[in-house]
Amino acid sequence: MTADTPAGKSFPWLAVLPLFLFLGLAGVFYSLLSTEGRDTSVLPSALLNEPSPRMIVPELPGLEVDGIQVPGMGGETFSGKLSVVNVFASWCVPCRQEHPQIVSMGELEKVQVVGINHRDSNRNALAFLDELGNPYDVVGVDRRGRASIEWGVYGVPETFLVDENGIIFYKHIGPISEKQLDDIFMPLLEQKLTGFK
Amino acid sequence: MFGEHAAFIVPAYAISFVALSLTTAITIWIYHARLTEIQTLEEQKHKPRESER
Repeated sequence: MTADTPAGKSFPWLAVLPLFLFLGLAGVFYSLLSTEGRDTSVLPSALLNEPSPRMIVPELPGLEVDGIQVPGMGGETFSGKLSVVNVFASWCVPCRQEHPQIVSMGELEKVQVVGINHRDSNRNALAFLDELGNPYDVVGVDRRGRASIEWGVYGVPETFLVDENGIIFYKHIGPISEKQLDDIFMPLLEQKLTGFK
Repeated sequence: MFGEHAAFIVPAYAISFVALSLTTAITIWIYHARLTEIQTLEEQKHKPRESER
């Protein structure tokens, strides 16, 4: 800043750099959001359109339907059945929020609802299902989160739709709202059921 | 295109843009004001004061 740098002639480009960076980032985000055919609510999953993990996940002791113990997950759990796989835990507040939607899917004929009880105590899981109702035909106790890792679970709750060949055809992260049940899950399940008949 | 949180996110971006623009404008204004001040001071340096004449 000497006399040979007269005021008004030099421009402080460094001062506008943050603004340009901000506008650049906002532009990138906007262009990614507005890309045609891109569903931003879907997170990529390596397991989509792939066979579901076939691992043995033990039953939840004491969980009975009509006096019969609800089974755990085994190698043949998904064979020949259209399934809704829901990862839940008693300590997970959004799981309570979505539970009525899981119950609604459980009421569909020919749809099997499978629960993966993620990092929970048996006592709390039983109390949770006792309080809110048990929509699950199969419940696996995933005490250490091993099954959740195999299923590529990001967090609780998560829900997968698995076809009669054991192929995962839809994955949902987070709680299922009533709207999502009506707009996404029910049409997908009905579409599969129609093709299944 | 926008999700359910757009009512929060879009105004947040707009407020950030306004705040950054204002900060940038103030920075540039202060920068030029200092340049002018320095230039005035440097011009005065060559002029002998009344008392020195």
